[in-house]
Amino acid sequence: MPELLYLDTARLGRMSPGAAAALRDFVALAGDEGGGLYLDHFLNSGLAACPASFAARYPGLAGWRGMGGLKADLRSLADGRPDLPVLLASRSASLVKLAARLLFHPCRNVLTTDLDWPVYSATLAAEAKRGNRIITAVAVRDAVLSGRLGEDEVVDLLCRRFAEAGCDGLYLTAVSNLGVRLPCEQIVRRLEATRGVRVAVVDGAQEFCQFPPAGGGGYCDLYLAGSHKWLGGYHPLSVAFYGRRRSRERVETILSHMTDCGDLNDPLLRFSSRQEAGRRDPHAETVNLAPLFSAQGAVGDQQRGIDSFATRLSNLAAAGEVGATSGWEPLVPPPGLRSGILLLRAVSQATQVRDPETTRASLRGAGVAATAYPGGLIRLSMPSLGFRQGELGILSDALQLGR
Amino acid sequence: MTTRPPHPRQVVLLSFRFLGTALVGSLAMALVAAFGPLPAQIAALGALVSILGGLFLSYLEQEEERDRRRGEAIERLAFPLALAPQDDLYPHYLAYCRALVALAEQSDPVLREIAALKLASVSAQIDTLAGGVAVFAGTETWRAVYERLLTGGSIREYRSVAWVRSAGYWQDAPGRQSMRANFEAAHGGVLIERIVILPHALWPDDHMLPADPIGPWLKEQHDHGLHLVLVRATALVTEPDLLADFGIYGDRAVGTQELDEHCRTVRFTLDFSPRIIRLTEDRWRRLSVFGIPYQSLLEPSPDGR
Repeated sequence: MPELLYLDTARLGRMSPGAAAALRDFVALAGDEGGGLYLDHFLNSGLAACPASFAARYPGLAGWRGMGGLKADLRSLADGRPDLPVLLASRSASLVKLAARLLFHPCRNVLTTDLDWPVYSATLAAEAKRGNRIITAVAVRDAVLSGRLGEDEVVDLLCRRFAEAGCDGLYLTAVSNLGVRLPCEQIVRRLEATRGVRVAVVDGAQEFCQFPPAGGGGYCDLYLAGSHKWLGGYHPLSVAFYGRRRSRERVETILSHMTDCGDLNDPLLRFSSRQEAGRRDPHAETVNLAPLFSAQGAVGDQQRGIDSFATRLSNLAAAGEVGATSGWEPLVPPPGLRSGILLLRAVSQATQVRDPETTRASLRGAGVAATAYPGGLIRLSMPSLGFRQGELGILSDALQLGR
Repeated sequence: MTTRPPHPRQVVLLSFRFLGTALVGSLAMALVAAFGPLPAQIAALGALVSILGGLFLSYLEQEEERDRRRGEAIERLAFPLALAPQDDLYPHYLAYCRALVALAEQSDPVLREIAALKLASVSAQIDTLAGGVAVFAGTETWRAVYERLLTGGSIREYRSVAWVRSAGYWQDAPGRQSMRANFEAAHGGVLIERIVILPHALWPDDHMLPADPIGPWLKEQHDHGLHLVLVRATALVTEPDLLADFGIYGDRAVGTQELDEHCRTVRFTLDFSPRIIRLTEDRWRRLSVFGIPYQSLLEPSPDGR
């Protein structure tokens, strides 16, 4: 069977080799040691704190240096300051809930766009309803995908709507699941200079490790990311960076309150915070640790890699051309709003009304992993390395079969 | 359950009073007619008619008096009838009535004089409450109402102005307790915005942030999600009416606090009238013009803005 051309990273990144090795060796360690003393030593300080033989027996775990080490590596990947705080949680919903609470504590009216992930939008809406606050949602997706709105126009539109609607908070999605990139930093900085933004939150789940790092989202009050998409950790691990001087302690106070009163119940979030602070809780809930080690392994691979965004963009151009000659219309945003996600729309009416799962199965049968949406849309996530010989041919064949 | 049959209605013509009086009168008139001369008969008839006329007029007068008394009684009953459905007020009404009846039995003139004075004061206070204003003078008990308003779930927005005149502002135990209520309300979803007016001594011009203990007091509020705006008292020299300590509780009420030099409450007034709420909102907007968002001081922009 030919190798799978994996273009579905935006849904779930394929597990990186380092993540796979770390996970294999963690399974071996768990089989050998269970929950014994050495596991505690390993968790706290890595293999260096274990008997010398462990390094040879579990080489995939060599990168693990404790919770602080993983956070430091993630911070480094995001190009954040050395003191940039990092939160790790087992569910992205937990950190989005924190983001919603952080926003609607001091904000009366929060500006969002239709690029947000619907589940997160629902969380924001629920929090807004709780406090009788307002969400001003601006539609930009269709205009960007059809090329009617460029980078400057998007920034102007959002800043204008922010002022017109009397907004005081921002929730932006850096890269949407359909591949539209928002110039979040530009928007936040312009609004802060002219209007004042009480809280700015950015969902960077599709941006983290896809785009070149930009200061760990230091321009916003909370930056949400994850290890299971473009990083290649596979096991869901939600990550958040915060640390602006104006809001660092506010995030911690609100997080602490939500945890204490039970509004936020994420065992991994509690565990990782305790572990980093060197505190133990003998009555704590047992936590699934696998996402930590797979993330650590994936971080190692990412650090060894090179800046891949330019490659992703050239892949996007190539895949778009293939799509255009295979019965699909590429929906490519204007420069500056592009990401490594390519959206193709079927030209054929029959494909447009077809069940997306049928299209997805057809592509998979032809050796391509991708996401299909209703309306004859498919999403291709561009790889970090250039297409190898023959891969564009596989893609072309798959698209022709699936059209 | 059995019901008693209605009382049978008596026919007036068959009553003893009517029949007796009619028979006696008729007999007297028959005797006069049989034995008296014509002038005597006319005189007797005239006297009888006059007596009947007098009785009728007396009856009308009595009926009028009865109507007046009935009206007064119904009018008095109107108060308890209006209050009866008010579960929170009616027991007090009854208690006052009972106490006043008991007071009426006291005959000492000095006691009655003192009672009259005190009752006048109580009436004035009740009048104030009826006008939508509650006044707490020389006590910190207003904080119980304040905290209930904040955390009771009835308001979603609270805008306050803290006129800090000394370092002791809201630093005592009741003040700290009220601040905890602020935090609880904020975590519960109430949007809290506070304008803090600071004197030069606590926020010198050459200091980025206010001095202790007000600095940490502000930081704690900010960390709990309250939106703070700082105003230098010196900026309000030309707007002295803006120097005040007040809070706007959603669209329900306005609270105004007056403090002494030791930051103890002299008076706290809670006003529920819509006109005062509108006026205070206007005052809030005017004051906002002079403010600097606290969070911008925590993280000044590179150009110093």
